[in-house]
Amino acid sequence: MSENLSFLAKRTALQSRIEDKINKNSLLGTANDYGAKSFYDFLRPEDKNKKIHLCSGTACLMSGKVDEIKRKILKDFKEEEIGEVNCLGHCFHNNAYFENFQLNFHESSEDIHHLAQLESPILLGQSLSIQELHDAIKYALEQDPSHLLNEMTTSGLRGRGGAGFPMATKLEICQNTPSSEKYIIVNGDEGDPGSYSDRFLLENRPDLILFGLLVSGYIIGAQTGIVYIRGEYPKAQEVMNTVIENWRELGFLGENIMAKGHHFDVIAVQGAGSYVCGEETALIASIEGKRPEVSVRPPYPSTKGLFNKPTVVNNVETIANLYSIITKTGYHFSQIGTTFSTGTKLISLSSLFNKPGVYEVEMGTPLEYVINNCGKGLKVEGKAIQVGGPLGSIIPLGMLHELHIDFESFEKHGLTLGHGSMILIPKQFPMIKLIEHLFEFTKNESCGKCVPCRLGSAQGHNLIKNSNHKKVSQSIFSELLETMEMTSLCGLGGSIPLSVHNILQYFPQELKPYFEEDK
Amino acid sequence: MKKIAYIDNIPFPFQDGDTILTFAKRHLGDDLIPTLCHDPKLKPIGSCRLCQVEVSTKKDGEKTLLASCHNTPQVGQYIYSSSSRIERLRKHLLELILSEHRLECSHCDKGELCEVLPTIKQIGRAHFHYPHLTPKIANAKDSEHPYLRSDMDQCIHCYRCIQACDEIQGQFALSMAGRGIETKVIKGQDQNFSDSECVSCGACVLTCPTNAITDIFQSQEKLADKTTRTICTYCGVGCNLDVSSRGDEILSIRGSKDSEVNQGHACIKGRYAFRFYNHPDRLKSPMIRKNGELKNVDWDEAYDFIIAKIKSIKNQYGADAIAGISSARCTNEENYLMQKLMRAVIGTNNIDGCARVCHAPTALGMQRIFGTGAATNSVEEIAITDCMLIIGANPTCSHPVTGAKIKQAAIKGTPLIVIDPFKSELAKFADYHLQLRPGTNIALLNMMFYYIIKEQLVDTDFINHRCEGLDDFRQDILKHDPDELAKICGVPKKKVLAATQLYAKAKQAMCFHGLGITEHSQGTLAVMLVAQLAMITGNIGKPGSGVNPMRGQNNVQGCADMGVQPHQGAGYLDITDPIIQARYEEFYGSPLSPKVGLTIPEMTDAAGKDKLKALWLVGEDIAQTEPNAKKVKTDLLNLELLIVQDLFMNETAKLATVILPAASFFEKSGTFTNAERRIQRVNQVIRPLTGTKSDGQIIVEIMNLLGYPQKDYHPEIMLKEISQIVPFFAGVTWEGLGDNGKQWPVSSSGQETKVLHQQSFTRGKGLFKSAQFQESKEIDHNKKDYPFILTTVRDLIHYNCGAMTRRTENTQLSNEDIVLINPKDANEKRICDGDRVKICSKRGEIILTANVSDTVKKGILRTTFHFPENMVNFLTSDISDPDTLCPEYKVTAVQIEAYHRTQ
Repeated sequence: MSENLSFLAKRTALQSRIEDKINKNSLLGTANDYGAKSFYDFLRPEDKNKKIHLCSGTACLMSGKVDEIKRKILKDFKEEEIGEVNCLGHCFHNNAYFENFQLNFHESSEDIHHLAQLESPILLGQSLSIQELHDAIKYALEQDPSHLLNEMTTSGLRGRGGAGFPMATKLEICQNTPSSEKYIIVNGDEGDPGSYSDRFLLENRPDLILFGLLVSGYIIGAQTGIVYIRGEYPKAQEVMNTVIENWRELGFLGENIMAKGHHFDVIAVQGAGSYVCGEETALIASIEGKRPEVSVRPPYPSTKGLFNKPTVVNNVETIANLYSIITKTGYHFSQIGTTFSTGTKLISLSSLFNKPGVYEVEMGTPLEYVINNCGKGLKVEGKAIQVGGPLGSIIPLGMLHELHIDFESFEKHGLTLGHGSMILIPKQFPMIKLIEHLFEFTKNESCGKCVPCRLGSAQGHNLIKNSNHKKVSQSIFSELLETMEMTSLCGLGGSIPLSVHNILQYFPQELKPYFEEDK
Repeated sequence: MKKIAYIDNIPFPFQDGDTILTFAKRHLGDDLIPTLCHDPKLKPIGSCRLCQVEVSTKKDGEKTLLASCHNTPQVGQYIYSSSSRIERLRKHLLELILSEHRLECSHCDKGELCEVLPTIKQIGRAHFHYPHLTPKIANAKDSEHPYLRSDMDQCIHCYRCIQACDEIQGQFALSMAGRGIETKVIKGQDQNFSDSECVSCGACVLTCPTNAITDIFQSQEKLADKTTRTICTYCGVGCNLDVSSRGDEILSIRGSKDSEVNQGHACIKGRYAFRFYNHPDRLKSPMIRKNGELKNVDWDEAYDFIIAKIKSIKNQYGADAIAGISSARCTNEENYLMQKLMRAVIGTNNIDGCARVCHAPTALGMQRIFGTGAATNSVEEIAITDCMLIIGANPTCSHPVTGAKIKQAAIKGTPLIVIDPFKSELAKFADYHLQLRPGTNIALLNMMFYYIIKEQLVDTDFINHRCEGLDDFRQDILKHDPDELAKICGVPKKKVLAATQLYAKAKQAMCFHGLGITEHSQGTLAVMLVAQLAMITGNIGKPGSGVNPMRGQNNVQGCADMGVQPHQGAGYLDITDPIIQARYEEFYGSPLSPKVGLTIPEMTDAAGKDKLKALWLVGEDIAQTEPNAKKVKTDLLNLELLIVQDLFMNETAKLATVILPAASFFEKSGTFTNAERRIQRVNQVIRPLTGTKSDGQIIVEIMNLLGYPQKDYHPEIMLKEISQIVPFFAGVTWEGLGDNGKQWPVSSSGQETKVLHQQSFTRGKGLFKSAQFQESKEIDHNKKDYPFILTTVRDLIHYNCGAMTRRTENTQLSNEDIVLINPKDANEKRICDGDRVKICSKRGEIILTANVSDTVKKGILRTTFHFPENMVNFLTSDISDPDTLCPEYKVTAVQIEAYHRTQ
């Protein structure tokens, strides 16, 4: 992505709202202004008249509630005033929609049910007291950054955003990249429909996030931290702004924190409606006010990221673990979970489970345990569970007993755990529709940069959409999936095929009428 | 140690900065790995994904797929350019790409620049095709622009155009809009080229691999029977151009890819504004004024008439009643011949050139301080300098290719200071813009010196070894009151201090100046101060530093080098020095006058006073471009013989006694010397238009008819003669110049010079000499009745008197001189954007269209001087720099008011 635009974007201050940042970037020219705004659901010039945004995400699709909500809304609004939004993070009741960018509910608006299935939870424990925070920050800033990095390495903490990359490695590369300016970013662009555990943390455990940000910033030598929160989470943004202000007042942020010589401040940046902003290079571009397109790697953000400076981007849940690692040692953390998946994992269960909500379980917990003991079983008859959103896995119910909540168990079966969201696919929901939904999602959310994602998803969508009257050639389709998987620039185009593969693999009979074998 | 990686099991060395793709291309050519989004000039974008290769840590080991365009080779890596999987994936990707690009090759304008067909050939089609995605872009076709065309439904979204606009021009006129499958390339806010910020440089056209973006000339290229490399005739950047032609028709122009000056880039003028060359207005026959009317005659009659007239005037009034004005648009060889004609054949030093009205103060001022009046450094050093200071220049308009380089460096963080009354494009990217009142350069520069001395930013070491006169200078400077200076120039002290620190503290700082320094009543003094600013901070004689005048015309440097000035002969040698005179006399074989000749303003003045009888004017329209144009016209009409040698019937030609139709730069060979002293070869593209002759040929023929044996005009032979008399041309030969030319001084062994004054200055020690600000008489005398200051400039679209650009499609982009006025002034005067306004000065009045703009400060007006219909020079004064007589174009006291037709 354009180095020049990043240099120019650096000339104006970071802004809490993407639109403000784009407007400040006047040196980038009107084409980039228009180009950036037209990328986002909430800024697109042609959608200015939209007053209502209904969810088009997978969880709401499975709940079947969207049509009902729309019928109700059409009484007060015109069809052309209704737009789409991709998941508002209320998948536990599927009642939410946006009215003038504020949350509104169709029926209930109960809060997230959350439970730590652990004796000493890492993430879902009690909120921290000011004294606890103070002591932890003071302790951390008294340590040498390399000591803290060692703790991180010992902890074995892997990224919770989906890729499972060891966090200490990123920190180390960035720490070793010389630069007077560095950035630490927490990725709260929890775009996977069905997943709302990050929203829970942002709204209810903001201290854990800021602590993780402060400490990881201290380790790499960053003086600025950014909490990027998706535009679909206005409450999280509000909470985070308040907490950041509190932290400043408490002297936890700012110049020379606790007289330990470290300067650090944080800004919460609110996204504006785009799934791909969860990809780290796109997220960085979004913060800069550029078009949030995916960039080629190398260079990786840890050497050249925000404003062309070394940057580390971590998922919300990942960074929330630092409090435990720093206060209780990396070794203590490494003893929780499995050898290669240490710690705990948050799971979000969708509304079609009997007890939907966010659960914290130890890595290695059997999947069936999560469904039966946490979720208390299924509300409707189902046939599969989508784990980890559109880029995750589709697992038939019959296979659940083989899996555990950890990276290895999923990898062994060619699956991915993703961010740990679980959506039940009801028995009557046609799998061909799910494939169509996945392609449509990609076709709309692709950043547009690479051929396999932008065009592959569109052509794939065409093929599947027409498959009831024109059978899809199996060989062309599998070649298409291979092309997308192997050649896409990022995980969006590259991982959708895995989901589709799962469906093809586990539901061959159901899909047979739509495909033809080649002669 | 060489780093080795294997391509298809064969070891090859790779370099730092290589990608797998560039590595493979260097060793095995372009055909090994297909790609549609790669352009070696641009950063890897990774959009087409066709360049997949397989890599392994060992021979035939487990292979991973990688896009070769943005991954780097590793030591010992095995890279496989092909496999059945790679073939399959490439074919599939290609089918996807072709589902949004229609192969309508029979009516495609892309010609040889098409990369789609060769890629299909390389990869092959798959066994299936995807249906075309229906055209989705409203107004995909854009044919509003005079040159650029687009059909975005043919776009394959490779991003190269957007990158070219960003990474080469830095214009950001292009971007993508939308998301997902709706993504599309846009210009501006999804507008036409004409309505966007596009500056028509054509970089996007050159890189676009399809017919999504083309220009009106591209389709013609395939008809060309030859491509000739030559040098652009517009500004002093000296871009190398590849001109495609068929017979005597020019089909298209592109920047030469391997040019050291422009690396394939060009601007709207060089690349597109060429169709003046065969415009119906071209003069095609000599003319003589008979009974008050200009009549076509043949060349012999014109020559006979001229010879007889010159002889009789010389006999009756002496050689000094004859004068010549040579042209910075002509070649070195032609300029040399013209001054030789005046000096050695006619016997007068009355020879001057258009540098008089632009950079004469630069030549003189820098000569006084350093000993040489030329740019000290090279444009390529922009890439390594730590600070850029631009004074009185607007390079993105007037020197676009250099301007783009400065802009690119500024964007990437090279500190930039702009000193200019106008908020130029570069000022927007600058760290400091010191927006001074026109005419107060000296006050501002003295402020900078004051702070350099006060803040102890003087490079004492450098000065002790290399310079003289600092003590007096220091005392003079410290007498200044910075508050008073700040008041004069209208720039806050703090800002000047900060900018001064930035410049003076930089390890190496480069200064560029333009006519905003020279075209003032204190022009030479200002240049001297600029030169001293570099000297006092030690910014001279090393790479990335220096004083670099932005020359306005293609060969204004060469014109002066060749002796086109009344006091110095070829090579800047003093004609009043008897030893030098003897040398010239021996070389030319004729007696020479030891008397310094007349400058251009003195010539016209002398004409008005009956002292000058004959004036020979080559390629300059002084009746439009000289200040106080009405007086100039009257003076010229008083001449007995006015010979005008030009392409067009310009304002001066209308007054001529004899007109000689000259050939354009496309129609002749020779050399131009650009602003960085680079002598480059101009190669004839087409034959001279029937009826015309090259300026060189005309002068040679006249010399012979006047009895001086001068060999026929051949640049090679001329260059040999020049190299024997101009010391810094000693090693210049036509052959030796090669494609990219050489920067003078060129030693007799052929060694060129990138940086001047490295060991010592040409004059020995660099000179410090202070100067005091003096308010222009124009302001002192006229500010009461004419309270506004008008400053004149040129814009991107047109070039000076516009004789060429006004005869191209450029007029569709701009067809009048527009005056800029500050919103506050406009409000007070009840002038709205687009209104007609009357501007008057003591000399005259004109009507222009107003553009209300905050790019000028209150009290300041700014306009161009391209259009004879507008005759902006009716307003300007004949006040000039006393040292060089360079006119004060930049400061005219005027009054402005809304103009109503009923008035």
